Amino acid sequence: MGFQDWPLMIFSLLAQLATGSFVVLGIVRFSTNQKERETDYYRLLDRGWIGSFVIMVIALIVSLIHLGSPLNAPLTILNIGSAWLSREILFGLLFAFFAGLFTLFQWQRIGSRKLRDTCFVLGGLAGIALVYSMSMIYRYVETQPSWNTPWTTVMFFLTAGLLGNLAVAAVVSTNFLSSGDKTKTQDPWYRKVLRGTSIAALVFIGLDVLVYLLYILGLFYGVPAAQETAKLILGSFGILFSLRILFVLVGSMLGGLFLIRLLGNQNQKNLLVSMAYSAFAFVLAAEGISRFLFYSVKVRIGI
Amino acid sequence: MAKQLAFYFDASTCIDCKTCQIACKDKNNNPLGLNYRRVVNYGAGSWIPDAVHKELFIPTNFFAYNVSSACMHCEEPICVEVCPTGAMHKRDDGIVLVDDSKCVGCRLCQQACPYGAPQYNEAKGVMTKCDLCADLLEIGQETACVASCPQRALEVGELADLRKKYGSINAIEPLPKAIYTKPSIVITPHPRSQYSGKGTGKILNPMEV
Amino acid sequence: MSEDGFLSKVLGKANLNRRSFLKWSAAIGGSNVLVGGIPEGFKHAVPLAYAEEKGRWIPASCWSDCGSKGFNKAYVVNGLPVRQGTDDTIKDKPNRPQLRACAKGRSQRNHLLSASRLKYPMKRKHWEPGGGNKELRGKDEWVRISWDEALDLMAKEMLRIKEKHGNKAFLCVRPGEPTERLMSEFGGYVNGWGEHSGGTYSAAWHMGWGIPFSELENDRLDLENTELFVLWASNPAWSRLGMPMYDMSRYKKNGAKVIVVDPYYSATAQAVADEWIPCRPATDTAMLLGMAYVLINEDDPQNDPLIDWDFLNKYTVGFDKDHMPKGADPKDNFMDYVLGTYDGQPKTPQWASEICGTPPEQIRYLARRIATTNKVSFRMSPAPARVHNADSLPQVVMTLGAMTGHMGKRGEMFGHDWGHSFLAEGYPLLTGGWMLTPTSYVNGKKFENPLASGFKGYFGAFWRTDRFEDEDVWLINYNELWHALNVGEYTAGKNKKRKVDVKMIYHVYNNKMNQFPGTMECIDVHRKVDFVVTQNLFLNPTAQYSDLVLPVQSHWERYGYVRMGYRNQLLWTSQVMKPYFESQSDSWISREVGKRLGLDPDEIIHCSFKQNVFDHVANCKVIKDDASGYEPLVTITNQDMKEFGFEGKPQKGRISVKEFKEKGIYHIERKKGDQFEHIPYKAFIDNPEKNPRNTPSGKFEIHCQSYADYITGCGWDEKSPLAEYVPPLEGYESTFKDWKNKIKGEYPLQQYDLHVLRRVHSTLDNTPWLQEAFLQSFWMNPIDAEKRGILDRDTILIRSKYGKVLRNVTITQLIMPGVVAIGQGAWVNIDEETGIDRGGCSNVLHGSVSTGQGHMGLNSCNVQIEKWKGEPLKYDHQLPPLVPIKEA
Repeated sequence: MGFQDWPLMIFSLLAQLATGSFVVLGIVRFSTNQKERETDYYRLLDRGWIGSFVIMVIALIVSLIHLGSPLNAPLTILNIGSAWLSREILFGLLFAFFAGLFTLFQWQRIGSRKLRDTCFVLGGLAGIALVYSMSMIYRYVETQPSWNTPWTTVMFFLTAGLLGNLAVAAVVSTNFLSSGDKTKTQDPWYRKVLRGTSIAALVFIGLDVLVYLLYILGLFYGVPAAQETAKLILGSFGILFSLRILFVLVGSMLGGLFLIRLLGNQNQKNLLVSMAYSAFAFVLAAEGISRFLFYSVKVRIGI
Repeated sequence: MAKQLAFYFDASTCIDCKTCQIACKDKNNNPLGLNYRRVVNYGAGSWIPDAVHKELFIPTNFFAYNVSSACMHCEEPICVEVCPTGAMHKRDDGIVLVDDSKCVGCRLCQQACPYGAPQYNEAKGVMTKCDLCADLLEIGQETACVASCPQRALEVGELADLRKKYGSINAIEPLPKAIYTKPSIVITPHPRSQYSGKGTGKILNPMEV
Repeated sequence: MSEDGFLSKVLGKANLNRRSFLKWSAAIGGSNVLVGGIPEGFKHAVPLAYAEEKGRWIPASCWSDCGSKGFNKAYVVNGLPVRQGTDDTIKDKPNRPQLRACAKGRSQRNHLLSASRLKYPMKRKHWEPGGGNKELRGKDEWVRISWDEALDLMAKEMLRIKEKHGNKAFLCVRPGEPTERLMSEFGGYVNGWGEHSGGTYSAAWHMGWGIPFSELENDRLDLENTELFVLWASNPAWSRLGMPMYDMSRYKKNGAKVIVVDPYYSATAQAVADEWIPCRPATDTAMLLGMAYVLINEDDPQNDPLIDWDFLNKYTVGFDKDHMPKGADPKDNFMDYVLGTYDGQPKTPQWASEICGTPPEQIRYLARRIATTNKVSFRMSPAPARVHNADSLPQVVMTLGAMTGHMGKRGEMFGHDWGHSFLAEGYPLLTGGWMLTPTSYVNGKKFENPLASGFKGYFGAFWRTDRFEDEDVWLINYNELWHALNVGEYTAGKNKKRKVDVKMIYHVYNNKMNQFPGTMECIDVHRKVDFVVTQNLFLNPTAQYSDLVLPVQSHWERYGYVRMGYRNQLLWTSQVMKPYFESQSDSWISREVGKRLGLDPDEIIHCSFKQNVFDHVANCKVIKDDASGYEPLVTITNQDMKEFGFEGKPQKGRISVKEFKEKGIYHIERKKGDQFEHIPYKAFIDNPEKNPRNTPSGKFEIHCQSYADYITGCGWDEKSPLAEYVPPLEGYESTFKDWKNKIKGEYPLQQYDLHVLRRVHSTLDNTPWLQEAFLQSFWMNPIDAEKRGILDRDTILIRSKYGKVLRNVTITQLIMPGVVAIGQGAWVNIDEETGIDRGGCSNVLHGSVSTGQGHMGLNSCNVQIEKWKGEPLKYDHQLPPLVPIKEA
């Protein structure tokens, strides 16, 4: 075991970040009223869309790196009949397509609102299907007990939601502070967005830790190969495991502090931005470790 | 036309001499690190002080035997199911093969197969595996491993015929249970073999597998 | 699957991204993966590069000094072997099995086409006539030179040494015939003597029991009658891989029971043993005496008969005081020794158990089981006899056989499974080739080493103490060889030392630095002498410490090689490939050196290699159908001689030259109980008066004066004519500094050598396929490891009185506590800074010491082990091949 699956790690984190942030931005967009949509700040959401799309494209390119013969990559969609990997590639491409299309429409103000909404919804569905397919690739492999559990799907979605919320919060908080106008810092819409995303993030963090611990516990009660995996994670890789939990808790602390400062109407701009980005960074690191353990520290059934 | 070609393995006579491993490696010209056929030594035992002569240690519950395993050419091959391009496919005669021209080298089959059959060839960038020496079978010869075994522990044939001849055991430790992929293999167990899932031993030569 | 540290894994795998990118960009640039163009079915028959070519199968030699024999062939395309195969000339069945090759033989193409093979003659950079900087031997640089230069400087130096010091300054140990002839013509050389493989068996059996090599064991079909096999330290799965192990499995399947006695739960025990009884190495004599005691003590002819008194009285002398040989002291009888009548120490199972580590109840059980079972075959490997001071071991073995009467009958034997295939099972049914036929280099003239006249060849020096009396005979025992050369004198008999001063060592056909005990002292010797020359395929350890290295051809590069298989196969293998770069044959080298020494090369080697091969072929014999004698095997016509280009007389046989050359192997089919059945000493058992043994008394001598005299005459130990237990040098007792209170000493563990499947002695050690398949392990029990805080695969330091070795340890339950083992033959690799061997050579741990009859004592060794605090050792297959000269 080792670091050889790093392209997959990066791919899954980035893809989940992209879909998560896309969906969160979408929720923000849908929960905006007409008046709010006319402000400048709303337009800055567009940066988020572009970010989402670009991250997904990077993710797809990175995924090519782990292939031995990347020239054959176009063939990977062929087996949607039975292979979740084919389905994942398909939904990934669909998501990238619709996310890109929506980004373009939004940016260039093309098409009616209805068209854009439809485009967005299609993209969102593709993204959800993408995350689901990604998890199913691994759940399907019965011979890898640390993959073959419903918790895998839960963890993937939690990652998407968690990273999505934190990313949006960080990006939006920057926007908040890039304006020099003091009154704009009190803008209720931005405060609403930041509040919403950081609360959601905290909830996801709680679930994330809980689910991860339940997942490990499940391994301990599984087949011998599952138990060996659990022993490895807590044993030889115990430091990483501890860091994973620690980083998430630090992230949650930072997120909590951010929220408190926000609610308290404080205006230490730099501190807030630092908190937001640090929270995101810590949680990203935690998810990175978690994904590394997922891909690399596993004991397969058999020989 | 064969329906399901399969290996027969006699665990009661295999001695882990690795002639099959070398014969296969030679025939396929595989580089170091790539062995389609591998032999695993599995067993256990402990030393307990004698009840009367306390300074002496007595070997207790000792057993060990070997399993030579290449590809099981399973009836429900998980490698085929997870392959995104369809490069991994099962022929009419039951042999599971990799189509070099389609394989993308994602290695998911390697993660899935509980027998370690698909192996990644770094130089070629594609997966490779035991193909039951399809080319030799075609010209009426035995597979390299079967012809080489000094203990005559291996055979190749139609699965139904092998079962008639030798029974239907297809899973002994440290092989996984048969339910995962329905391996096409018939095994004559060693007198002290343990059935898959009921193992009390461990692999004794992990660095060689 | 392995658990390496996280950091090392991260750092180690960091390369992968670069590789993947490179591959990717290559793919974009234009794929070089061959796709299509080759029919689906034939993609793997030969490597892709040769798939378009046609080749042919050529029988290929497997010539290593192995305990087995297999038939190999090579598929040759454009002069290169691209694939190997084995015997498929006949349909496989037990009465005439295919002679299948093993992993070692089948790795030969990987072995011979290696970057580390010697290509050209090489000279050590800092050598000068007289030695130059001798300290640099083993660490100097190599310079490529031409053959002319090499041979000229070699001859010049040899002439200089001969003039100044005489022929006694040349040492060649068992150099093979071409060199023997060269050095004999040159005036002689100092050789060695001693028993390599058979331990103390050879002399014991020859002298005490009158058993020639051809009478060691029953034939393989007769053993199908055996009910109980006792395999004592016998591990055919590793040492006799091929037909003998296949037979053992067959016997087991046919219902025979198997008991294995061994310190290690060997591969054989795992496969076929119904019971495994551990016994410490070097203590077998004690355990056997304990078993004898049980039989003597509990035997009751009426109610509980355990001893076959008829057998003892009729066929042996020396068992009890009423059946002593002429002139022997009646007190010196086996029975009274075992009962302790005169020495006050009865050899009870309790006494034995304290030494051998087996519970007394089990010793008693084994003795009674052997005595009360009908058809027993007791097969001991020579390993327990390769122990210091184990001279009495074979005596006890055979005595037990006589006591239980399991000798000379169908399905019964008491003896050992001799290593070489051509000595197995009984008199050969096919003869020919290297070992047993006279050399065809003879042109009517017998050659002899003037410094060992009368002691020609490997077997010539056995069992004769007159070698010591002759002042012109210069033979040094293998075990004390390096020490003797170090201090300048060797043992030449009882109370006799002779000064010796060797100036040149000429190594041919061997790796004695690695394979003789006392490697550390050997290195010192090699840094003392004036001149060291080695002829070999590879830069093996012996070559590394030389001044001049000459590359030789393997049997794959010579015209052919005739060699016996087991009793009923004969092999004629042929040339597979052209000679490797500038390598030459030993014969050519001998002729060329001889020329420059002023000798007549035709007196050294008088005919071509090819003619030699055909002489051997013509000389191949097959047993007559009525077993009354031998007749020619091969039919040779005048047409054949013209076609193939050799000289000779036409003859009629059973197979044509053409067919034999093409097939490469000839088999004889047998049937159980047929006219070729062989039961050792059956004739003697059936009629002892008409067929006496070749011993002074004409019977099996349990009390053997001639054996005792021989050993005493060798000069190291006194031996009584009886079997006596002598605590061996570096045995079990010597691990204690206080035996009575069982306080361990400085070297508390027993170490012994295993023959492993990775190589044959030291040959094939550098073959990547085999390095990958078989780790060079060092086996240790968890109980001993735990005491020292050692974990599995840690790097450990093994220290003996004589040297230090580093290894990666395999902690395993399979070996007895208190005992550790290493695979013998790994190439020594001394780290010049620390003086520690990193290669795992067992002879670094052994000392250059002779005991008893001058046999190898390689299974008696005491060591201490500790965890190594320095840099961890890499696994051998992770290291690059040893290339003598890096080329641009």
